[in-house]
Amino acid sequence: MRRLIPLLIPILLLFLIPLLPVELFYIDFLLLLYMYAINAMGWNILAGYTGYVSFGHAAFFGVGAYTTAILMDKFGVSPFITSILGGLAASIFASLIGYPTLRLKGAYFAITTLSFGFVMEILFLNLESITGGAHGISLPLPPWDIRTFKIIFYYAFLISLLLVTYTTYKLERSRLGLALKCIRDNELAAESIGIPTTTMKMIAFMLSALFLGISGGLYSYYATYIDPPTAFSPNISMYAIVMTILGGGGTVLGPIIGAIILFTISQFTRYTFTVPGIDLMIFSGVAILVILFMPEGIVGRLREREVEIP
Amino acid sequence: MFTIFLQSLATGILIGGVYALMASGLSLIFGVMDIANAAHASFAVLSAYIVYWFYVKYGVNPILGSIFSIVLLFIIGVALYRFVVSRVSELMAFTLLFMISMFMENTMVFTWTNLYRRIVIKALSRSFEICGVYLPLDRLVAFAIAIGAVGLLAYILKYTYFGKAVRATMQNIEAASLMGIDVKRIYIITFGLGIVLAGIAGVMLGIIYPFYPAVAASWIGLLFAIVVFGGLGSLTGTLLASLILGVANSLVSTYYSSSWAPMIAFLVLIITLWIRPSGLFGRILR
Amino acid sequence: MSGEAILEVEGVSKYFGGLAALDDVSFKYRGGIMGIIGPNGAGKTTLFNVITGVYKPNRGRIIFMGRDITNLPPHRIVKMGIARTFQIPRPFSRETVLENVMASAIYGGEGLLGVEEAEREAERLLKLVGLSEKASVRAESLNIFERKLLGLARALATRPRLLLIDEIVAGLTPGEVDRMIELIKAIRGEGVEVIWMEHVVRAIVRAAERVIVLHHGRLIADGRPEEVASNPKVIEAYLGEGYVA
Repeated sequence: MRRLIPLLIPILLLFLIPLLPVELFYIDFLLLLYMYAINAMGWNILAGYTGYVSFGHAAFFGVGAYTTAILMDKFGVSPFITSILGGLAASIFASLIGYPTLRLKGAYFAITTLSFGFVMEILFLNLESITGGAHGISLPLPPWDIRTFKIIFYYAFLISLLLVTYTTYKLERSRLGLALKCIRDNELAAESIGIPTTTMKMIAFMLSALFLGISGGLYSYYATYIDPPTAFSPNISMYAIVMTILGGGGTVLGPIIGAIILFTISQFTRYTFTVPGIDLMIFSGVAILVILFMPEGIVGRLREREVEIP
Repeated sequence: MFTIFLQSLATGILIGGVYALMASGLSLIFGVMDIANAAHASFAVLSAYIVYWFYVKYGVNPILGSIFSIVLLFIIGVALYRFVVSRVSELMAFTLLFMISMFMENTMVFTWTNLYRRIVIKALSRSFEICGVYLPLDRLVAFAIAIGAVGLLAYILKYTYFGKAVRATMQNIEAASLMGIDVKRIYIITFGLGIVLAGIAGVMLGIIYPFYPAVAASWIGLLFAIVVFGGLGSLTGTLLASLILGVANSLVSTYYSSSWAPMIAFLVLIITLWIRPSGLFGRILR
Repeated sequence: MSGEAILEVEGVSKYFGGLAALDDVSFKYRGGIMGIIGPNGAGKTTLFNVITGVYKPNRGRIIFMGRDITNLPPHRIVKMGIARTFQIPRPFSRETVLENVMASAIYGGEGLLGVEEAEREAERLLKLVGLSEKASVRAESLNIFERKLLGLARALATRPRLLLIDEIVAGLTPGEVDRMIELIKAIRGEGVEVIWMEHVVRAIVRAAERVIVLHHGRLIADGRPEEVASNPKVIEAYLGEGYVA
């Protein structure tokens, strides 16, 4: 725990920021950054620690987003509880598809999860009666003013990110975490020393989905509107993947560092270039370089240089 | 009523043939080297753009343009495998190729914008009619070329030394190298060949359909579905699966709704991997 | 050797496609160091894979300590007391040597062990095999001999009743082979039963009290090392028909 103390000061600063007279633009910026960081941390649990690289994690984000939207819109459930329910819904969804999917190895797992991302988008586009189809679902604006609204969500995302980070930190040091890392390194050997790999992978899968479900659940209320291309956007998956790869899979701070760097770049390109897709071009280029020359990521490289970093 | 069914069937079969060509390259790479080439469809689109650009900008005959595109793609494929893909493990290869496809796609947006393009060849703009079913000439020609290419591939695999070496490598790497086959070279050439097949198919599709950079993303799911459903390393399986999926897509679009159609391929992929990963004709997954 | 059979292999057959990797193999094992030898492709590793639940046999049963374990998944069989090493070592490469053994100590027994207890047990075993100095090194940086030692330590951490050793002296120097044989005898001294499968016949003959021979998936000899080594069927299996005197 002592290693975390140096982080307390920056965290405290983050809590103080909204109380200062900063422009809403920065609140928004940080809020979305937290969201992408949460997504990356969630993906990291399954890919970085357990070795199962998913290309369709947006499916869980979308399930969370739509759970919130439908519960609020059709049943008037109070907000923020809906995001937790959204996380749970995503977890349950993961448990349903997890058993047959986690049996697949490597690239087959990747293409199955990739397919799921698309299947969910098409499904939600077509099930108009429940999901509103392409029209999406609009959520009522709350009675607060814009600034208060955004500040509330700033804290919601920040607290979620801190919880997710703490969970990952504890997981890494736990017996479950060790089992997951063994599964990642050599699944057959893990079985041979008594690790119940199926159960462990399922837990990782559901935990991973939980993070993204909560993130999606918060997002849809924040945006007050959700539709399938947004909820299940391949960008959600892509960003989580590249941010984690850059920062370092299988580490606690890696996804966050990757998120900070890449999200900043993406926002910068959005306001500088008019051509769409520059951010993805940069992201994919970065990913290619990292995979070839620094697969352990930034945190991994730092650790090799004997820097103690969680 | 029956005419509608026949029309749908015919459309599905014709397009299925072109998919078979594209998927055969993917199946080859997957079967020989255990690499899932996520960038396969992107190379197809790239090929279409190259031929289109030379045709529209410089008036170069599409046939010449295609030959140029194919040669270029072979070189790129060989270089890509030799210097990039071979450096990483098989799982990372998928991720790497996925990122390469993203990079290619967005570079194409940057270079050629998102406007829909199509290689329109006036000579092929006619259509034949048989029993009320319309068979557009461009699709017939594309089908013929695609099936011809697949046939040529089958011939190469069965009767040439290279083809036999490829099949030996597919079955057992150790045995193949003990027989004197340079497995590394086979890998390099196979990868290039697979990309070339994608390139030819890409031009065919570019003649039939309007294309744009992101269309690769919609093809890749279908391609993997074909390869998995048909069975890895089985050309027959790829052909059969392509026709089945082409027809299924067409029928669902005609009778139900075109918005559900894209899901078929993904569902086929998922369910095949869940229940019978070796597909129709493939060997058991290692 | 006690009278009760620890492990019974009853009529086990395993087919891959049309090929019989194991063909009606039966034996009763009552303890002590037993060697399994046979030329390459004889089915030795397949037999281990069937016993440890990696493969299900097409026919036959495996009975361990009186219980039918034929259809149990690998991690359950480990918890019941059968551990194994791998022919080509499979360390958890990104984890440290200590963590490799700790994971085994935690998950290998019936219940889950606590982290501190697992650490102590891991340290003890690393000392036994002689890897203490490498405890905080990543497993991927070990050489082949050290990896095999790690494999043994990891298997022992599951507190097994029976240890299956799969071709452990391949690729080792004569000095390393000697150390390995001494270590295996020491393991036996700790009360762990050992079935040792080996391609290098000399090593087995030095350590085993009983040897069985597999050839083309069939059991062709069973007895004391000296008897088996001079058995004409065994000689023929290894050297081919032309060499039988």
